[in-house]
Amino acid sequence: MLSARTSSVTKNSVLNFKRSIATSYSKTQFTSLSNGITVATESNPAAKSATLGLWVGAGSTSENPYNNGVSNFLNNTIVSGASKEAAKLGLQFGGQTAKEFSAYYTQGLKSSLPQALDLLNAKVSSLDLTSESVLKQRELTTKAIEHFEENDHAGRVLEHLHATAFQNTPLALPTRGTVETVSELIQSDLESFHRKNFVSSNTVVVASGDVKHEDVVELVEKKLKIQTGSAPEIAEAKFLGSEVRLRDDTLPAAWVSIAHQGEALSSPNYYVAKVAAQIFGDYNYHEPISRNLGVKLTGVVGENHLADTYNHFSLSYKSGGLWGFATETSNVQILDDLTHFTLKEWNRLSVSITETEVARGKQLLKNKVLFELSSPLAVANDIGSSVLATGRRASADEIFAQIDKVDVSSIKKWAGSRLWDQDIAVAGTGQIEDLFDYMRLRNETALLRW
Amino acid sequence: MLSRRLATQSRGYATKVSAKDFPGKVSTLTIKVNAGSRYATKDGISHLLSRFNFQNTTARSALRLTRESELLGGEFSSTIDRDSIYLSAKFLKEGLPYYVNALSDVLYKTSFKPHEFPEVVLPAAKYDLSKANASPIFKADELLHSLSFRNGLGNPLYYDGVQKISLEEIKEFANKVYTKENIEVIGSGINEADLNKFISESSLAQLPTGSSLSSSSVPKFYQGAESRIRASGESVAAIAVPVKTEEFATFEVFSAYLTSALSDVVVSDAKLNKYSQAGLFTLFVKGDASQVSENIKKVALLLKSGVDISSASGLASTKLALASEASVVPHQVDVSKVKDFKLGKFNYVAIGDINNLPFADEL
Repeated sequence: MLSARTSSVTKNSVLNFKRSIATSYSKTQFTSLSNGITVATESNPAAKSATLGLWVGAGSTSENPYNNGVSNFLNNTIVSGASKEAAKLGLQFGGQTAKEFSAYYTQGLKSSLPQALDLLNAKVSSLDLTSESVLKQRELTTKAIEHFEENDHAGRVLEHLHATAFQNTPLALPTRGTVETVSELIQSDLESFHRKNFVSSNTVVVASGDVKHEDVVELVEKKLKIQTGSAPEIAEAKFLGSEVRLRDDTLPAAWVSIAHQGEALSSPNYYVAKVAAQIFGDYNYHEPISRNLGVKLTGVVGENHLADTYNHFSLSYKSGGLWGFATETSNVQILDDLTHFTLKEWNRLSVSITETEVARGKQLLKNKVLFELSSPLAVANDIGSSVLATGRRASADEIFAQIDKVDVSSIKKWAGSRLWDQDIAVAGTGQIEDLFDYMRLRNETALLRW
Repeated sequence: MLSRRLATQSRGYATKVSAKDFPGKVSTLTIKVNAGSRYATKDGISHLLSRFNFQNTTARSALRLTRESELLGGEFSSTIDRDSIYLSAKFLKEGLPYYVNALSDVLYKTSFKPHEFPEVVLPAAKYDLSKANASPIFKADELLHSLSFRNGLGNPLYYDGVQKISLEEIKEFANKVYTKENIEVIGSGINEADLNKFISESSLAQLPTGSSLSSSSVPKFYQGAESRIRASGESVAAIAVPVKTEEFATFEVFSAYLTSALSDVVVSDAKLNKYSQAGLFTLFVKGDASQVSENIKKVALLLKSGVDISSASGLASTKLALASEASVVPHQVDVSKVKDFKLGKFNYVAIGDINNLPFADEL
């Protein structure tokens, strides 16, 4: 019921210019309790709402091929089971599943924080499932997965990119699971997954917005009961150059993603890879600003309408990452030109990237890192995911200092080892007849001369 | 002392300026112009003017603006709703002088070059419309506004080419709406004294004087209308009720009730659109026609029999707090006294497989 509601709310970006209130990025405060739980908060004097939640290190990487989708299924079941009670208390209850974590949170006024924690304790920490709600949520979850697979082509390509790049390692499993795996899961699967993963050292209590650290710590000490235990081991991710093609000429466009092995969250080159991706950035053929961007690639793409949109990414996880781009184009006959010119531009990172391009990328990245934290929920999510993955969260000043350290030589050195003549992962769907075969794309990762 | 002098200056140029400073590194600067679609002299002219923002000005070309802003890392946007055009910039705090200057030049010095209109502005406007029309909910929303208010708030949001608009007409409209009295500058993460100082040095101080177009009278409401459009894709059935400002609280709570787990009915979206002097409550059910038909009947049955919605007032305050954090100009609504709701007259729209969607008199 809930997922049907939230997924069908359409947002019109033209109508919604969001003011950024979470500009404070004040310091994150941490307390580690004796039972192993970490409490991390960031208060924002401008906020009127308070977000409180549990971030648990249990996403699709904690699953195996047989229970794939269990974290997403569990998330949907808990959230739908809690939302009515939450609404009566004036709280909005929400959840999210990602590759390496799942989140359960309430949004409300500061005064209702104690009730919010009671609710999280009753519904998330000590699981209370009914077989009826499990069956109903299984049906809704498989429907949502079906909807995703049939409609969100860009999202599907990104999942397949992970699946092929990290094949046979935990990062390969689709975040939502598949219809086949989820429809086989039963209540005891949810319960045993919960028992194994929802333990104190695998959980971070996060609060952001109109909150006070001491108050939250006191509440957690008094009310939250999480079974003690240590986080289960998760196998390392391993990158393998490979491709997956889901050609479907009935779709109106082509969706393609190409990526090299990227950087893990804790990698010293994390920000080098981020800056490198930001140098090429995002592109939308229909937006007038795209013609004026200071990126060489946009010139050839715009003049020949090689792509409708593209975005460069540097995705990072605990033990691996992907660096590349994802594109959508309705001009499917010249897909080969698009991949050629894009990969040739990537070559330049190793040999001829300029001071100006790097400086521009650094400045845009600094802004982007902060712009993304535009609401207490976005801040909470950033705190929760970084503390789970790396045990800490860098302050804005620290991030800026790290970005400042990146220069032309570090970009060239990094690109020389990660991109230049290195294997790639390729995924595509839609009309991809003109997507070159693997070896031709692979050969474009280096130049014969420069 | 200094701030008092600056405050006098701010009255000198007759533009309303407000700013709140926060610790942190990011600032948002918005110029709100009372020039949304309700004030359009021709359908869609606000949208075209909004798309002309950040094109060439006599002070700097669009290319130069983009490239300069990239070096600071900031972002521009020009968006519209029915009330206003919002010109906004998000940037790191030290960029304030540049962005005040750049935004003011857009208002005062846009060149309106003849080639930009067909080559840049029209294609971009067409793109906005096609993207919006891909959603049947957007189409229903437009139609409900038109049925409920006819003119003014009922004007279409985007330019659709039904009424031809010339470059001259856009320039005239710009001259009419970009005046000192018709704009408001809102800063967040910005020191107000600094903002006033930079504004007084910018071309905003040279904007012509005019009058505020902001509507002060309550628009006429029309109720009991119905409209149906055949379309492929998902079907939508939607209900709208025009709302007086004093009833905003009831409809805020009602929206929170309908979209939460407190109610047993399935709606895709329900919200109160708040405009100056009036609002429009809209409720959408989207999906397969037979399901939509079943669900909208249940919703209508529930609403006509009257519901106790007092249980949703806490949730409504939470939603309002979240919305006010994200909006440029937050509305204040007190929802504590709301008790129950009963649907009276309403406007109704069906889009999609209309042979399988109910008529208003069947609800």
